[in-house]
Amino acid sequence: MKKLTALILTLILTLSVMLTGCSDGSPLDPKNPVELTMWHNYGGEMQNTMDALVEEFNHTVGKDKGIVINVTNVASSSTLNESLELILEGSPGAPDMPDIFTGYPEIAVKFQEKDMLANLDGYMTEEVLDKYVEAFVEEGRLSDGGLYVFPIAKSTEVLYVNMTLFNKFAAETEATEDMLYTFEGLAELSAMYYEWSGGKQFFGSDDWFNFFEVGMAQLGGSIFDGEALSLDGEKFEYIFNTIYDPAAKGGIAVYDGYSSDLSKTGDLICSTGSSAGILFYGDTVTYENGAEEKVDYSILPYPVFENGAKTAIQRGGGLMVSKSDEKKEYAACEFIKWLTASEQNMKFVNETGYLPVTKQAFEEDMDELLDTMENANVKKMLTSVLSMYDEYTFFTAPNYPKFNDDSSGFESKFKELLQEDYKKFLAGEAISAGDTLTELRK
Amino acid sequence: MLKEAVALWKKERNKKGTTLHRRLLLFFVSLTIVLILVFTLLLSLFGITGKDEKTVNNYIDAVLTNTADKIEDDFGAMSLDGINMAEAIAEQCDGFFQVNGITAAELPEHPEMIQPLLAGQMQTLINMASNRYCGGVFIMLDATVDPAAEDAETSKAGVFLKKTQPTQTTSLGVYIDYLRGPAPLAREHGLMLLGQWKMEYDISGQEFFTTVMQTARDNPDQPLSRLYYWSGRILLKGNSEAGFMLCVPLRSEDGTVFGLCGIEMSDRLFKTLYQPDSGTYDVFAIVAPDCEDGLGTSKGMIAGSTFLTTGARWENDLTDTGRSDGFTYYSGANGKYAGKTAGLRLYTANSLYENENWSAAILMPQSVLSDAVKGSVSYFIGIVIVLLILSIIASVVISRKYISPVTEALEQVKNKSYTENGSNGRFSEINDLFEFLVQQDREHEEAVSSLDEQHRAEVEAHEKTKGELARVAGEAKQSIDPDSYALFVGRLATLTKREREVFDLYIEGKKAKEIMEILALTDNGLKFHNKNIYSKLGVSSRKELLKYVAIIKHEQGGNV
Repeated sequence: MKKLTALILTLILTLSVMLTGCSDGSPLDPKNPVELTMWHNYGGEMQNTMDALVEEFNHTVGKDKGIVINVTNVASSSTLNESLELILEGSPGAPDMPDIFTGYPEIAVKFQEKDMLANLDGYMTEEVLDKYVEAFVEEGRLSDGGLYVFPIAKSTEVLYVNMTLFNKFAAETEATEDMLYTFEGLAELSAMYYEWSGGKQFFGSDDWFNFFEVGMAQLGGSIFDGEALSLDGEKFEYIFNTIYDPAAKGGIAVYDGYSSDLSKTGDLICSTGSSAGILFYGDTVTYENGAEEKVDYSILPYPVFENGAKTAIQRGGGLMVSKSDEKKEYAACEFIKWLTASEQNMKFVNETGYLPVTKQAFEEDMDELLDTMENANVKKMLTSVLSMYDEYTFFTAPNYPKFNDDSSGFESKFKELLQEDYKKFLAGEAISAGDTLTELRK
Repeated sequence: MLKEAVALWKKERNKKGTTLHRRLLLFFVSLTIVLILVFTLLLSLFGITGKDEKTVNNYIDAVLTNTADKIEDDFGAMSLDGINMAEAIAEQCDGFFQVNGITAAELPEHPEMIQPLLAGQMQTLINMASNRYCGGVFIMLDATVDPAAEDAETSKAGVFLKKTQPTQTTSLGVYIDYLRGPAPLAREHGLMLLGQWKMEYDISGQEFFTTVMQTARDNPDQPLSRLYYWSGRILLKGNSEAGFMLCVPLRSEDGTVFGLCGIEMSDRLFKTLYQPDSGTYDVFAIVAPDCEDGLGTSKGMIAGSTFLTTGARWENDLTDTGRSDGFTYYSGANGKYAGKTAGLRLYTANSLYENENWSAAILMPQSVLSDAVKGSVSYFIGIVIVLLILSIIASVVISRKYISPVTEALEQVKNKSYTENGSNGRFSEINDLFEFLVQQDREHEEAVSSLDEQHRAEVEAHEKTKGELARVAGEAKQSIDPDSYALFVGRLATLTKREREVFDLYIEGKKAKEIMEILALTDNGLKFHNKNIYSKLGVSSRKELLKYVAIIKHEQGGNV
């Protein structure tokens, strides 16, 4: 009888296991996939690459694990930032917060302050983190030491030069390529070009705050004083004065949009901008009459102030995960791990011009990639950036809650003042570097 | 395992015989199994086990109805907005033509006027993009800024404003980028040029422009409400996102059709608006023009779980392979799908595109549908198994509980430990049994004591007789000659087998007649044996013989 009871119990246990299934510790169920919304800033040409990667994930790992990534917004970082700010402020009409989004640590700080971000440490083992370039991972750690911004791709700033147009200009003037390597040279070239072209702009920057921020670092100073901006001092004045004249008199474009917009129509010869912006430049210039000209772009290292140290910014955009239930956070991290793994990371690098973030991709696979790379512009850019990594020191902007307000506030004020001065200049009114500097420092 | 259990049970049964408990358990289990089988049969007969199939059917019906209604409403509203926008733009353009002293037909000959003409339409486009769900809004003129260029025939001037967040319509969070058009217009309005920005459209290989323009030119008297056109999914050359394009002709006051304008229903917008809730079943929605064999998915758009819908599918249409159980089955290059389809009305009655049929479909991969149905059967089987196990456990417990008073009572009977009120009065049958047994015991005891009495009397009589016999034997012994007695005893062994039989019968007290009958002897035969016995034992009569025998019996305790 005891044997019979034991048999019945065994039968019940076996059936229970069969009916409940076995668990591998993952909260996911492939039969009931968890759907995650994603916003990213890899638009334009890069969108195809990111879409293809997301699609690949959904078809392979996502399908096996029960994760579906749905990209619901693709826009520039600044546009995404504005939407994210609306979410942060809880503004009426603000979109729903995405489960995964790209952004910079500055916005992460704000989300983390409101406890709206998932700490990724809980989902990433030491072994996983060890695969990434340590400095890139560290950049994503916020004040409490938690990892909130996971590195996906890095970029720095470079100088894009439309060599076809520059050569035409240089052929008829005393302009030389050497002058493109310093800001003083660029300022001089801008003034020359304005004269030579009859009022066209030569140089622009996608981010004037970065220009000052890095310039200060090159000259051995800092634009920051704790968690505030410090615009006093001779170094800042020197940087300002270097570009003021050509900027106020039209040689340097102080433009609200991206410099690539102006470059596409031949309205700018060179500009500093993110190395990841390469795909926005294309290889043609379209003139007002619709005519298109094939042009050749050179990607030069970020210019340096004379007597300054070779310093450039390292932009640390990454992926963030909204605070949610364990299932969603876990799923998001599974996607992030896959997306940033060496193989996918290199695919992304190959087609976008970003720098990879895994040690293997960054330290071992890049040389091989450069040999086989088909996109000539991306190849030029990566070659230039890799040479910068040999010679330059990289500067990373600090993360503090008011950083975004400080930097964007400075950017708008600087543009506004300079655009006003240019208007005055065109109208023949008097302009003064000193007055504008004083105004800027207020 | 079941086999082992049965074998074990049989072995146990054969060894000891079936117990009441097992027998009751067997009845219970048999009853349970029969009930569950009947239950299962009834469920199957009434189709309850196919519940999931019906649920899927109903779910898809509901989603399809909602989606198709929503699509018709949204596309209808978009068509109306497109017509209004076309009328507004045409009116503004007429004003421009008048001011600049040209007719609409002369625009292609005045490329310098294209940019200022478009500049005048920017605000209308921006307003439309800002105030409604769309992937973008556009104008395409049948003109180019460079008529002398080689590709002038396929290069069309215009503007395309792209919305990065297609569902944002409030003043907060509306971001518009510039995909096509003269760059200065973007700068004037602070719009960013997209990476794919080009000044003009390249319409080579894309028929929608010519179709709309030609149809409008061929039907100058038709209102715009009959001339608007929904293109299938188009990826504009150099663009990164495809979409359906609502195209409305731009017709001047003088009837010249000089371009078109419209609104884009982009992939992303479609996905956002029509993605079915995947919480219940993993289905996806398709809107596509009909094709000969089924759904023209190569020109359609899809919303739903991405992993069920591959990019490759867009290159092929879905072929209708038949209907069954209320589902329509489709086969495509990438797999088989099942679901439901409903026709869509995208055009007004008498529209020139009235014959272009579109459909909305809610589909799922055929394997997912099979899994959903199979899953319900497995679930049902699981429930039946659990029910069965629970019933068996219940049977074991109940039967044991039920039979235990009986086995206890039997044990008490076996141990004779029952009392008149042995089951504490709980079970009347056991009480009766115990009362009966107690009564029986009592009667038995009485019978035993009476028998004992009788036995005692008989023993006393026996002892008395025995004493009498001893006395008689003693007397006989004294009356006989000791030598003759010794001779008698000594010669007993000389009797033949037959003589001994006769002798033994005499000892038993049988009479001559009885001995003759027993041994089948004649009178003479008996006399012959008697004579021999007497002579061998040295006696002269039967009386003397019996006397000797009595003495021997007395001396040897009954044995001769």
